[in-house]
Amino acid sequence: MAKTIRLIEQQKNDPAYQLEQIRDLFRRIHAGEVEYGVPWQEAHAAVRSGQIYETFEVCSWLIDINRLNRMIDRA
Amino acid sequence: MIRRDKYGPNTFENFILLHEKHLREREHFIEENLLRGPLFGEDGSIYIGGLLRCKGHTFLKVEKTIAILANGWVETIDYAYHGGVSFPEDRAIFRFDNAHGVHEHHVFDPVTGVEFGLPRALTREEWPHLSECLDMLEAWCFEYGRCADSGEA
Repeated sequence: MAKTIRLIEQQKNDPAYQLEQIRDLFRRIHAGEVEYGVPWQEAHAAVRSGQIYETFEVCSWLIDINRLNRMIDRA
Repeated sequence: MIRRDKYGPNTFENFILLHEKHLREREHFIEENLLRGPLFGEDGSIYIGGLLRCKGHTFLKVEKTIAILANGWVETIDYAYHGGVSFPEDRAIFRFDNAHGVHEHHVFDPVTGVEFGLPRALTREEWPHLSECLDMLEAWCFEYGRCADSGEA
């Protein structure tokens, strides 16, 4: 447990790690846009309306979009 | 008697302690732990995701975001737990998720992969933990899968 907490503290204070996380998030969200043919801003509505069938991978994409929205809220 | 809400916020230390304990207690069923995290996420939350390969060719895919609250406590805000079986074909068994804001339980026919009807909305008491999904998968494996055949798990 102590090891996990130490690792998270290190990540929290590492700007290079944070930047790489953001890049990864953008890459994943863009890959979802290409795969499902919907801009990220419309993803939730597209799933709710049935335009996109919800799979685990779609859930992962939506969860990434939720993270992006939280980042925007924090900015 | 006041009962603590098991889905309510917890201290960060307790959360990590319980996460690791629950996985350790299910090592008899988990064959390979390919989970990433807990990692500090780009949005200031904590992230756990990846795959648990389990006995009887079953698996659990996990995607989970844990918010860090102002007082330093933590709380799961987004999750998707997808149980399936990878042999003879890759098929879904169940999925719990709240990815688009509604807590839902999806059930699938593991022979055809087709979802049984519409997902069922969950009450707060029914929101699952990762450990409960592993228990459900293990029970499924014994009842319908290959765990009983091989004397595994």
